[in-house]
Amino acid sequence: MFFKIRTIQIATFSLLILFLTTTAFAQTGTIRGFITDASDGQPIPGVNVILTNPAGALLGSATDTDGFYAISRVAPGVYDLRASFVGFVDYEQQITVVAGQIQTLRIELEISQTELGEVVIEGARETVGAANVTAGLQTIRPADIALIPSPDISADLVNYLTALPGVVSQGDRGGQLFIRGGEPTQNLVMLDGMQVFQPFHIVGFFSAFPSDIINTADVYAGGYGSKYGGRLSSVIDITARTGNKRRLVGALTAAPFVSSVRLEGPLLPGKISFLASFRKSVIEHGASKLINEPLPFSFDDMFGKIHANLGQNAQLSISGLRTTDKGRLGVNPLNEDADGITEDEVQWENVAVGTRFIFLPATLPVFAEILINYSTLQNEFGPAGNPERTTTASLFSFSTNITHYVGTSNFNWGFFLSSSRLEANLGGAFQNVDLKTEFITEVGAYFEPELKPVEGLTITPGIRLQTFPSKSESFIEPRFRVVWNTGIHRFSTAGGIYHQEVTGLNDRRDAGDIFTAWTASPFGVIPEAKHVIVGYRIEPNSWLRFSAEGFYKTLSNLIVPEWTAFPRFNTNIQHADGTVQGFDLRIELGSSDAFQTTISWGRAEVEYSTTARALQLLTGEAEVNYPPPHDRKDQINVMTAIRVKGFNFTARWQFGSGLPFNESLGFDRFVLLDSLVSVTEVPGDERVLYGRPYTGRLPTYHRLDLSLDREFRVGPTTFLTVQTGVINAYDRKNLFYLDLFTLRRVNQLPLIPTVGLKLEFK
Amino acid sequence: MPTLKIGNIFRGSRLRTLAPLGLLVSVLFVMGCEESVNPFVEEDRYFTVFGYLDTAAEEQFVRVIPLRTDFADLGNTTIDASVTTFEVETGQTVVWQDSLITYNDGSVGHVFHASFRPVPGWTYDLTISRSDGVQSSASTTIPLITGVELDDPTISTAAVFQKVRWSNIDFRPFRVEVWYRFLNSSPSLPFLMAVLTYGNVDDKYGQVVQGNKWEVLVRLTNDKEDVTKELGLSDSSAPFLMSVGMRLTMTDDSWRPPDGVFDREVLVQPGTFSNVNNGFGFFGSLNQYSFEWTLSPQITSLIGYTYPGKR
Repeated sequence: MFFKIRTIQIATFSLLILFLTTTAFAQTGTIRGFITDASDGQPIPGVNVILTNPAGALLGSATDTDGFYAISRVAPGVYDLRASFVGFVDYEQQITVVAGQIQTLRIELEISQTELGEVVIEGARETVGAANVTAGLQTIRPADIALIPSPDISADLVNYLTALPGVVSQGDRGGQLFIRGGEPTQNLVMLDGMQVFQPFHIVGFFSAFPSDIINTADVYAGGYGSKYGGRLSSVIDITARTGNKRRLVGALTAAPFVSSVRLEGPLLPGKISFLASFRKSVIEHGASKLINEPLPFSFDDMFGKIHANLGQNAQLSISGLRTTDKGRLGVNPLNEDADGITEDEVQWENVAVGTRFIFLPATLPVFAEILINYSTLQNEFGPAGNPERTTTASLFSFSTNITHYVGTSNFNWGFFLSSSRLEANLGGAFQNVDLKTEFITEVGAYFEPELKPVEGLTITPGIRLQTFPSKSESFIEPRFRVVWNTGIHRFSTAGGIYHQEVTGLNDRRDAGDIFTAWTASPFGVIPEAKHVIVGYRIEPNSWLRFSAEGFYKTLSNLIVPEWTAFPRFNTNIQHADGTVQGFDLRIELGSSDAFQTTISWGRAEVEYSTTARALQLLTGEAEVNYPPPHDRKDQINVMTAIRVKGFNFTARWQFGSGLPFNESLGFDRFVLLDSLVSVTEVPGDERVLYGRPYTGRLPTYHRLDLSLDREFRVGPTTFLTVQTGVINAYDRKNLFYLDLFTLRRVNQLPLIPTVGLKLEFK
Repeated sequence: MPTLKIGNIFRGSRLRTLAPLGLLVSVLFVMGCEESVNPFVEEDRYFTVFGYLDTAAEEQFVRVIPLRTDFADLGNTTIDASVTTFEVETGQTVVWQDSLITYNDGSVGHVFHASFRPVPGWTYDLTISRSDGVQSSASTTIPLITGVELDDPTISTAAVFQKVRWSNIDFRPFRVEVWYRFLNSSPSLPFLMAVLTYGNVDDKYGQVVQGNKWEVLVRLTNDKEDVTKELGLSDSSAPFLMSVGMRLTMTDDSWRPPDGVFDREVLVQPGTFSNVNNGFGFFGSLNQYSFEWTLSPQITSLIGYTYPGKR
């Protein structure tokens, strides 16, 4: 009955939208299409498309991630169409718009020549800029990622992410990112629509997303729109490139951390292309030998995509991803090797496959997308070959997203269905949660009009219906986003309500323990978050940009380990609520061509509150507040990129204030005197004499990374890039983890010189 | 001979060029230094104590655990601690002796013991002293028996019950025992006793009634099966029942967990259930309240025994 009502409502709503938009277009015409790079057939996001009539009136649009543009409700007549983008020759064409007609015009932009006549190949894709943030939304392109020094010559998305204010990592290992106070499992990370459960590699410089495969990445640090759901904190939506449709190109890289190979090219020139990428870590044989320290980590990732243009109005892509990670973190004196490193190994594997079909109905100004995806994660922890804890999560999802173009406004809507299978064997951890095999379903729909009532103002209210049939719960999640561009100023605000049923359980008392158990939210309640973001940006000239953003989040029904004085991993689960508040300031100087510097400061305060009985008794407070272990109050990043005579120099200095940790008075034993206990026979249990949670602060963290590279032409289309650099240039002993039980300290990576070679066929 | 002037050292020399570089190197060196972390806070707490005084025992025991910052408990055979109790009513001090216990989990602990029997109603101050003068301490007052009420037996169609109410007890005793005393034929052992522990099953423990009285329902009929089993008699036997008795093992007033429940997960948290000054743990006391009564010939027969005066 529940589903039947929802289906009827969704169908009625769809028909209504269809009717309205069809009626609207009877008297006007629409111009739409895809814009690609003529040299390789790949879509170009951000191209400005302008229609000008003889009277000088302008109508315009910009291409999206797919290179798609649409200008609708165009009065019949003759127009000059111009498509322009930095680094490309402007495209101009005269077109005639007919009432009631939809014209699909595919445009190929030619790369512009420099004054010397050299073809500028890579410089065409401009950076978006670190200060170009709009109410929590940051768009990232490969050129942005290239500004960050990295031990991987091909660069990786995660290095840019960790340079953003509000993105906290616990160190250079572990693969855990906390975005504006949210936990890693509260981030929705997608690649070509495929959800990736644990996308960041065990070594913090790498993720499942090497820069070479990325088209764009939209990072919502909060306040994301109705299209996304099922996560409390953030969305990282990555689109991969489609592969070169003109010729076979590729690259080989070698460096002390990782080596890789990428190959792409046409399967059917101009129509079908493929892109394949494989990376494998060589840390244990490379970087480890450089610093003469054991680095027991290994990872690899492989990605493949086939993209097909099915005529002017349709495209199909199939993508697949696989990542594996393995490593030994932390300290366990009860099980360690000769180097004092724990023998307990954590490993995980992501596999994701998906297909995306987009089409433009011939008679409707509509962009439609169908996504079908399957993702799995397997996660293990314990002695190698004999894990103590295992978890498996798999997800099947089906969704459609429809956009109706009505003049300067868009109407977005869609519906989704996902089914998850979650299995966990935790060997005693999280004792009061009975974890077994669970099947979770999420169903819903959304509607989000994007209105532009006046020039410069975009209002995007949204509503998402999110249902969790396994808990017989439904939520109406309102969302909003308002952006007002006025001259050199931009004001923005965004917010919404979010829920998450599939959640991850972690024991965060131990930074060396990154094992995550994915499960349906226990105790029959669903965690909820409410966001509000307010932002301001000013760009007084072409070389100076400044942005400021404030945010506030409330979190409820979070699942956290129950506070206990029993050491290590036996713990119950309890509820907690929380708040997150803070602000970012960013200044960007220069342009991407010769010089660019970005300075950012992120300030945040994360606070959890709990009614755990033990803490109530300890403190005498009904509700006990404490900072969770990812509450990093201040983050500063200073990044500089200089290009001189073909040399690219990048530097990054990052600073983070200390993370909370649990202080204690020491250790003793606990004997429960609940009966006639004989103290000569009962030994009691080991106990840690904790007081309030997380009262201590670890030392500050800061590090300077440097990188210098130059590209040499070694053939007509062959280039060799040589990179040299250093990670942690002044060899700062940054703490990763202090084991309370042994007082053994695990530091983050020391000074590591890096050198990389990249042989590229363009 | 050229005159050496300080200013000449710097004017036009390499030092002026190298100074900024040296400053930068110094800054980087300092920035690279390791910041130490001390995960332990210091408070005036020195020992953890677990134990109790028992009026039914000739020897008293307390476990003493020095607070340590090394998780690996090396099981030191010596302990820097001395333990005494001060008897407030008499001013007498008893010095306790250390003993090293190896437990069945392989761990080693120090249990101090002393030979004395505490007196109900008296207060004992426990002190654990370290050689540098720091101390942890705790105090307990032995619970004192007050009053007991005995109802007439209740006869129902199925069984006979009798209620016993103990005054000024508002918390569950640690143990409730009911004994049945029988006449024995052996001159060397004139009585046989079957002692049943009621405390094994929650509903037999009893309950608080009238705000501050503990009421136990003695199951005179139902107990016969356990009685005969304990005495090694057949179910149909009817020994001579002399009297019935009850013993409560009761804790002192401070021996009460928060919320009235001994929840291990809650109480493990330091300080949630502790009466030790400058330390952790718990030091309490127990007393046994006993009461014995006789049954009428009618009741004795009804519950399956033989009244002693019957021929």
